[in-house]
This record gives sequence, C-alpha cells and structure tokens, in this order.
Amino acid sequence: MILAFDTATDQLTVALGTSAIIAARFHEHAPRAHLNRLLPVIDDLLHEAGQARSDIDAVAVGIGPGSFTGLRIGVATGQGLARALNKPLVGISTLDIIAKGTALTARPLTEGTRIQAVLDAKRQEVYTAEYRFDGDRIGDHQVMQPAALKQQLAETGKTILLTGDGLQQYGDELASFDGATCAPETLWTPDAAVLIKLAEERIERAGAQPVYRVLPLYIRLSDAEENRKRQKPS
Amino acid sequence: MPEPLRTELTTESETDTRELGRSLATVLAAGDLISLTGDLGAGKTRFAQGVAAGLGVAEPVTSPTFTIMRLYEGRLPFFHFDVYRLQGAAELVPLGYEEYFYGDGVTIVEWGDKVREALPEDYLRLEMHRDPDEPNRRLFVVEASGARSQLLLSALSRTA
Repeated sequence: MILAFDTATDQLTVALGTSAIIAARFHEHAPRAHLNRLLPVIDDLLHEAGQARSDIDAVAVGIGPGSFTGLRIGVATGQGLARALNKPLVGISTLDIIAKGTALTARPLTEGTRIQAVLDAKRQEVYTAEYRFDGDRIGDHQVMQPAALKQQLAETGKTILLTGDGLQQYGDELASFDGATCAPETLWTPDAAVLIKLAEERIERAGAQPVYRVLPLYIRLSDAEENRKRQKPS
Repeated sequence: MPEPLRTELTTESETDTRELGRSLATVLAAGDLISLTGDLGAGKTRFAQGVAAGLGVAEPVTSPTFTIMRLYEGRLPFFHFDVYRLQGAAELVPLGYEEYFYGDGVTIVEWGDKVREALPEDYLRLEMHRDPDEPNRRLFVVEASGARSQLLLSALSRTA
C-alpha cells in the first residue's frame, strides 16, 4: 500500500492504496493550511481504511513545481515518514500528476493530441510542461509568460488539451487559437490517486531513490541561480 | 482631479500610529502591498499591528525580524515580512515571495526599500521619521506608485 500526497498547489490531496484499489482518499481546497492539515488527514485516512502505519509500503510525494512553502511541507513530511517507517520515498512532478490524471479521465484522446499542463507561477508567469496524449511527458518543465507559451503552442499546429490550475487565470488567453481546448475544471488539480499509479510505475521501472535525493522542483529558483552565475563570473 | 502621488502625515503617539494602520486596513484588498521604511523605533511594527487588527487578525503580531515572514489569517490573509536581515531581493527568491506579494492577501514589507526590485509596480510606500522636537510624534511620507496605491493614499490622508 502506498501513501501519496501533493501539497504544491492550493489543493491538498492525499490517498492511500494501490493503483488497483484506492483504500481512502481526501481532497480539499486549503490555501496555506497544508502544514496544519496534512498529518491529521493522513491519520484519518489510515483510520478510515483500517490500516496501520506499518502497512505503508512506500510514500509518494508531489514535488512541484508550485508553492515553495507547500513543496517544503510535502517533501519534508515525505522524507520524515519514509525515514521513520524505513520505506522508500518516491517524488513525482505535480505537473506530471495533473497531466496523467487528465489523460486517464479525458480519454480517448487521439494519438496526435498533446496535453499541456499549466500552473500559475505568479508574476504573470506559468510553470508548464508538454505531454503525449497518454500523459507521458515530452521535454522539460519550464517557467514562462502565458503569451509566449500560447505562441509556442499555436505554432505547433497540433490539437492541444490544456489542463492545470493555471487555467483559472490564463485559460482564456492560452486557449485562444484553433486546436486548443481546456480540460474540464475538475481535472485541473493533482489527484493523489493518480500519484499512487505513477509512483508504482516509477518503483517498477527504476526502483526507489535514496530518501535524501527526493527534493522539491524549484524551477524558478534554478533560473535565479543561473542568472546570478551569469552576472557574477568568478 | 488626479489623485496625488505623495502626501505627508503626522501621528502624535504609538496609539495614533496603530490607529492609522487600522483605518488603512478598512480599504485594503487582496494583492495590496505596503512597504515601510524608517529608523528602528519609528513605529513600523506598530503600524503593521494596526493593519493586522483592522484586518481582523486575532493573534498577536510581532516583527518577524528573525523569521523574515509570518502569515496570519484575518478578513484577508495578512503576510508580514521584515527584510532587515536580507542583503537584497535575490534572497527573497528561495522564500517563494511571489506567492505572497502577488497572492490573495495583504502584504506589509518592513524595510521594503532593501528589496525594491522584488516589489510590484504598484505599491504604497511609507517612510516614517521621529520628530527631533517631539519624542512621541512621527512624521509619515506616503508615496504611491500606481493607480491602486493612489486610491490607498487618498483614503489614508482622509482618515488622518
């Protein structure tokens, strides 16, 4: 049984189970409340599922990109639990979780369709990544302005299904070209049940990482570090 | 008539300074940012406490000099920063400051001049000075940098 949670967005999502059977799950729109809510919710779900902490075989956590504070809460909690239980920890991109959830629910998508997952990065920018019709990622995570993203997408000439919480703010702008549509709003937030599925696949394919190697995905922070290096050649 | 970009105010006591913050809070909305500048003891934290009280924050508010930021829940979320210990705006990046400065609450940044590049285009800047002749009097220079902060500035000068 996997314990999975994502705290990178305003949505707190926690689930317990396997890809075959979800034993218990929880979703809540809880801006800035993740620190207070996460551990009690995990306790409640274990209770609801009639399971003990020792029944957890692995912990899976969404590593962003997203709210820096949220990421630290999620990753630190994941590391702490995995260490204490002496079980593997798996970190999965929050955009990957959203894209996979969209692909699984919105199907059948035609093979040429691309999924573009978008989260609000504030300061008129979005975190984004591109996916195949089945939710497998193509290329890297990026942070960019919505107008630039829209232009890039329009130039591909492909059918694009947009998803992710960034559409609250930028959905109209991003979908304003032929071939683009927004997925239903219920698919815009990460779902920990999907995280369980992705974590199982990861463990099967690559095994678990050492706990200390599972880190938040700070895309903008690495940009800032790059800029600093460029400005200060040493 | 265009709204003014700059005004000056005075308060005669700590209670006055706090009340000024409280009255400003009545017109604050999500996304507003106020930068405070002034010597130690000028009353920045007192003013921030007034804003917090006006936003309905029940918890006691102290200056987050060592934690850099503290979050409170009121009528709106209240994000209280004190960037005195930071060397510059780059040091705000690891804190994920965008979530707050461009977020769904009200932000106060004590010593905001130190991180000016990270502040939004439109914000209210308050510079506070002691009066050399009147130990309890404080002089405020209030500056607006955009349409929204001009509205706040007008509201502030009407209440004072």
